[in-house]
This record gives sequence, C-alpha cells and structure tokens, in this order.
Amino acid sequence: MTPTLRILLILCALAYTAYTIRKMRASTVEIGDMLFWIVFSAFLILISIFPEIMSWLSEKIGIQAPVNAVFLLVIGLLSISVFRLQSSFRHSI
Amino acid sequence: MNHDLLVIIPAYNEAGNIEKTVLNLQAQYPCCDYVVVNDGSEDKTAEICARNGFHMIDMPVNVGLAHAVKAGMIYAYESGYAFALQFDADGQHDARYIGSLYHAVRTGECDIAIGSRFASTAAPFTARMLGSRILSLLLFLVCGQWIKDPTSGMRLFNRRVMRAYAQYPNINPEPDTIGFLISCGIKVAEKQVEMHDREAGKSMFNVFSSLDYMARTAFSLGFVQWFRKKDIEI
Repeated sequence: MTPTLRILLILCALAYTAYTIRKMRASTVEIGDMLFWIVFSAFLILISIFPEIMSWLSEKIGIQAPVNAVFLLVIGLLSISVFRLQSSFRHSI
Repeated sequence: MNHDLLVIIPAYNEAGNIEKTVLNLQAQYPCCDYVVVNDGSEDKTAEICARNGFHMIDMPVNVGLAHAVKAGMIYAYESGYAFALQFDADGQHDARYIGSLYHAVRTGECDIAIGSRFASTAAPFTARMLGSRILSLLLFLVCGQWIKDPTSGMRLFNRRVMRAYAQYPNINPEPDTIGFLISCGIKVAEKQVEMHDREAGKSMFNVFSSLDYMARTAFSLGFVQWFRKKDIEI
C-alpha cells in the first residue's frame, strides 16, 4: 500500500469513527447496531497503521497487490452487513 | 384502570406458559393490572389470550423484546399508571415477590426495583454466572454501584423511568440501560426474589446468542456508555 493510501485510510477511518461516536452520544442510533461499525472502523485503522498485516495476508492467499486484499475484505464485510440487514428486514415483514 | 401498578408481560411464542403465568399472577397478586404484549408470536399465544379474555397488546409483527416492553411502557405511561413492572411470560418470575418491589418504589426508596436472585443469597459459580459477574463488574465501572443480578428481567419502575422508556431510544430492558439510568441520577435497589425454571417452550437464548448478547452488552457498557450524553431530562 502506498503512503498516500495509508494516510487516506487513517483519515477516513478516524473521521468515520468520530461520526459514529457522535451518533452514539446523541443516542440517535441503536447501540446494538453500532458494534459492527465500530469494529469495522477499528479494523480500518489497524490495517492502515500496520499494512504488513495485509501484505502478509495477500501473499498467503495469492493476491498480487495488498490494496486489492483490503478492497476484498471491505467488500466482504459490507456484504455481510447488507445480508444481515436484509434478513432482519424480511423477518419482520 | 383499577390499580396504580401495571404488570407488563412481553410474550413471544409462549403458548405453553402464558395462561398459567397470568392466572398465577391474578391469584398471587390481585392488586395490580396487567397487559400481555404479544410480540407477533407464531404459535397460539394470541389465541389463548383472546379466549381467556386477557388484556393484550397484539403487535402486528415480531419487534423484539426491547420494543415489546417499550410498547407496554408507552401504554402504562399514557394510561396514567404510577408504576410499571416487567414480568416474564414463561413462569420464571414469582408474583409473590411483586409486593416487596412495589413497596420499595412506592416509598421512594428507589426509582427502579430489581427482583434479584442474588441480593442476599450467594450466586452459584456456573458459566452463566460468570457472564453475569462480568456485566456486574462493567456496570460498577460505569456507574459505581454493584448490581448483583444485572440480567434479571423482573424490574419495577416509577413514572419517571416509565417516561424515559416511552420517550427515548436506547432505553431498553437491558443491563446497559440500568447503568445509564444510574449515571443519570436514577436510584436503583435490588430486592431478593426466587426464580423458577421456564416451564414450557424455548428460551430466546442458546450458546451462540448468549455470546452475542454478552458481546453487545459488554460493548455497550464498556465502550458506548462513556460517550453517551448523561444530561437528558428524566
């Protein structure tokens, strides 16, 4: 990962965390739903500070550029989130 | 409205228990009103309540325990009840102990009285208790009060707390809300009660959902509570 991408990731992750915490503070979101997003932003911060994690992982699973492994993981996590949202929605209808 | 206490009985798929629970309640503690909140049960819970003429709020869909209790709280608040009690439909809670909870809140000793299994008797050491202990510790760190039975669902509230339940999101029938309310200046006391094993049907918890519940509650107590605004008007 390039330094630019790392800095961008850190900034976005921090801004994102600050935003979720502000929402939690004002209690405008359900606390239970926030666990996923807090873990998600913690994960973003972690991999932007220690990109070696992603380099190691991408080498293990045969992805050439670590940044693609980052994208893959983020897409994967988001799909899980969408799935959970949809299944709880269906359940309540 | 014949009394100043409303017993709220949230029920999800409790066809095997609901009749006995309500009849027991009426027999053991007649000086209260009650309402069953049928939370979109797929079994015959609603049918049984209707056949017996039980008072019931029939939710059109399954909204979950928190919102079922909330519906009961809104009903209690708007009907002008002075006190509301959350009471399990599965026969775990014993109506004989309502009196002591009622007395504690009525006399102004506290705003919330929790029916506690371990207020004066020692807790056994099991995996479930370990979870409960962890929550107690987190609660203590958040609000400075030891609650010996944080997961007890038998809680009696006064009108002030009822209004908070009716009005605010994230005020749920969960341990983290107890911690939050204590931080907001609400007085909480525990009274010794006995609880029984559920008689029929199945619990909302299994191993996986218990762990999920623990993670969420620990996250809420250990992380979210530090950021929550404590100056809401209760």
